[in-house]
Amino acid sequence: MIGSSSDRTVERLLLAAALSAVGTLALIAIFIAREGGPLLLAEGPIDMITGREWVPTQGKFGLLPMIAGSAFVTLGALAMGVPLALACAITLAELAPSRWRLVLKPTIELLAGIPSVVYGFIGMELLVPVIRELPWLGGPGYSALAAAVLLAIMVLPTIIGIAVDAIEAVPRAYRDGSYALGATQWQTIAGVVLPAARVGLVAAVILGMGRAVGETMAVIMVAGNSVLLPTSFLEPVRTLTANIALEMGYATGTHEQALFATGIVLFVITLGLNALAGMARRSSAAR
Amino acid sequence: MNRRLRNRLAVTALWGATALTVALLVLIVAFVMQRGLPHVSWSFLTEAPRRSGAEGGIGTTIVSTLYVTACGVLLATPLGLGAAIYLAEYTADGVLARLVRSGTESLAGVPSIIFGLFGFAFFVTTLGLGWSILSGGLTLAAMILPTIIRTAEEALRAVPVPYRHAAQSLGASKWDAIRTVVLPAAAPGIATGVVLGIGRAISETAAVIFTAGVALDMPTSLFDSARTMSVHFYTLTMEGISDDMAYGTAAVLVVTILCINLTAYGLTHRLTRRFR
Amino acid sequence: MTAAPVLQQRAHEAPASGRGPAGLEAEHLRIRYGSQLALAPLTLAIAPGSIHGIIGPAGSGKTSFLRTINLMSVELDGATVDGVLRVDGQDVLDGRVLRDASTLARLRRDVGIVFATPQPLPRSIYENVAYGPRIAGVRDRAQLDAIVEASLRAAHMWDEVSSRLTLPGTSLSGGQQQRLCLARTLALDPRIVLLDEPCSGLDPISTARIEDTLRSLAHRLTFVLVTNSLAQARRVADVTSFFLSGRHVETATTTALFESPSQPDTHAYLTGQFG
Repeated sequence: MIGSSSDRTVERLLLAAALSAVGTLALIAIFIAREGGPLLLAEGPIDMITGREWVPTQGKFGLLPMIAGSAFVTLGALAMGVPLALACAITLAELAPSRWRLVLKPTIELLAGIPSVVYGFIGMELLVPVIRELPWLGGPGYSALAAAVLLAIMVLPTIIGIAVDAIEAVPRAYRDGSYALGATQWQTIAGVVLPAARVGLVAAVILGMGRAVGETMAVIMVAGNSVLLPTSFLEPVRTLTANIALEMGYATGTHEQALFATGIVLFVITLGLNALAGMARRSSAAR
Repeated sequence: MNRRLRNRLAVTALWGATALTVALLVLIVAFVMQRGLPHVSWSFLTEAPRRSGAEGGIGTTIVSTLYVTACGVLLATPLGLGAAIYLAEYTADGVLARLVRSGTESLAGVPSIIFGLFGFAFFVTTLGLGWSILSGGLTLAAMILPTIIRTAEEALRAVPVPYRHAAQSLGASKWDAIRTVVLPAAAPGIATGVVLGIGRAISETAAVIFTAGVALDMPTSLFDSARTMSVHFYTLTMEGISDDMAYGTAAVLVVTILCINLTAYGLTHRLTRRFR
Repeated sequence: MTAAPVLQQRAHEAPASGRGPAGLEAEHLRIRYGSQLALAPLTLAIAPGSIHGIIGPAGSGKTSFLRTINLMSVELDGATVDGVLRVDGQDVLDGRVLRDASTLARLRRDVGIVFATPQPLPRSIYENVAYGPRIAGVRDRAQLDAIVEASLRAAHMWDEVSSRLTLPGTSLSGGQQQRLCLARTLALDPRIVLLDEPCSGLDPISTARIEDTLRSLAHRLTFVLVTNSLAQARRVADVTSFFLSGRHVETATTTALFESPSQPDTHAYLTGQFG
């Protein structure tokens, strides 16, 4: 008789599937730690993170240039991308009539779909020469600036998506109260809506940051990948992600372990950022 | 007057920013299309690459992309759907549900290069699968799992609770009700998740290059190494092999993603129309 | 499972099968949601083949009681129930029924329910009615056709929908949807049908049609009808119970209850002193 299938067996199978995501995460953590942990501990994490020289063939495993590279690129991307993303989010959530939103939202989400290698390529063909030629910029063109510009565009959809949710979650009553007191639209947005959505907006930025830190291909293609500690945005830099991707192809022995150690650092950073963003989103939802 | 002026300025600036963002997208797509479409022809799509890709076409890479993506999606969909069903139908908000959710969220935030490292260490090396479609597919499955779980769970939750009660009051067990009423109703939303996962898998490069390898030949088995479109594109550009081929490949990639996004969008539209 | 024999009979024929209406006995039945008491210990008997009305203001425990009869309150609403509840002599509160999927399914077929808001499944009219039988294992198309027609006829809606059985259930009007929900319950050949304020929000014609169905099937089935409308109880119910604030106040034949209630609370409610 159909319908007498054991509900409990099904429930157990589904539970197993549900645990697969957690299991995968655990597996990743275990394997990265297994391969990179010994070297990380042998060199000392503090020494690795503050070391200024990365010459694996000579046993020098300083990650500071790459951490600085990631920092330059990420912060630059956020500096350019966050204002633009917030502006778009406000427009989508507050200003645009619903018909426009139906078109605009998917269009912006399309930006997220373009492969990062295509972004990198466009960066190579368009952005890098422009930076090189422009009189007030200059340098080799392959630079932190190029990567930052590309990343700013690439994280736009991530930040916009969550920011729009945060802004829409602000209760109507707040806006109504402000308008009733004679405020203009901008005054309401700046004075009431944005502060109320503050925590969600922060979450959006943190998640955008996480995405930027984790980006690999586009960055490799335009950032220059020099292992020297950067001193300006116009210099070529190498990020943590690029470090792994560039040398993984031929690294062996302790060199390979060092790359896994870089992976551990990267993993911890992105997981931390994600956890922060998650906490922020949960606390803003609880209100 | 000062307030009104400021309001006008602000609103104009906001719309300007949005216009800029949309313009960027349009420019990027247009640029790639304009430079790349002229090189896309039937022979481009079907011929194998010759001389490392400087001549010929991208036929084998398209097939490789299909294999690796299919492998990943076929693995991730049942797992992701099962997880989503469990989250939506079997738990309220217990410790387990929160654990699964934070695990999924964290997995979603892991950089693709880490997946590449993991795939290499686990699938390629430890499990001994070597650089292969299987290794690539398994790694991609791990990557798109969160996307499928998240979208499917939303789709399941959107099905009104009374449907379940009605079905169960007619003698259906909980699983029967899910199987015969909830899942079919949530199908478009679930399909959207799968389609989005396919899109992610196709654009992925860093994870694939270290797991599926870079072999240019037409793959014949799951254990063959295979070069996907995005990996091929990366190689073409980084090694300066051929600008024309690169643009052509880029155009194919972008058009594929456009179609996938449109499909996903169309599916979500169908979903929201059902419950009006 | 054969086609619903009860439904295919004409009113004057005696029942051919062994299945007839079932009776209901509650003994010290108590329903709680967490620490909140929804129904104080209740002892009540519902005769087989009767239309038993339950009246009372909102929050009186009527719906909790109704949803406990087919164990939905326990399985889906999280209620804790103590006491004894016998459906056709079998105690359904015995833990075994809830644990075993097939006994629970059988209970749900024997005890059908129509909810306050029409809930057609997202399927065609035909498939809505055929859903229950299909779940129970009926596969033969001819059998299903017969069951669907008989059920829709019993709900007095065959003439309206026979030409559009493939249209979605949601394309019907509210009143038709509710009759569809009644029809799909009847498709399972139940012995008791529970109705939770089925006509609230329906137009008078649909209400009349549903009441016609109840009357035409009386003696073949037992109906437990929770209703907000005193007029409906008077029109349709043989016996009526009055519930107030989670307590069963009194039960009597409808005429006796309405004309000479023995409890002051009942009298107060019937004369409209509170709603």
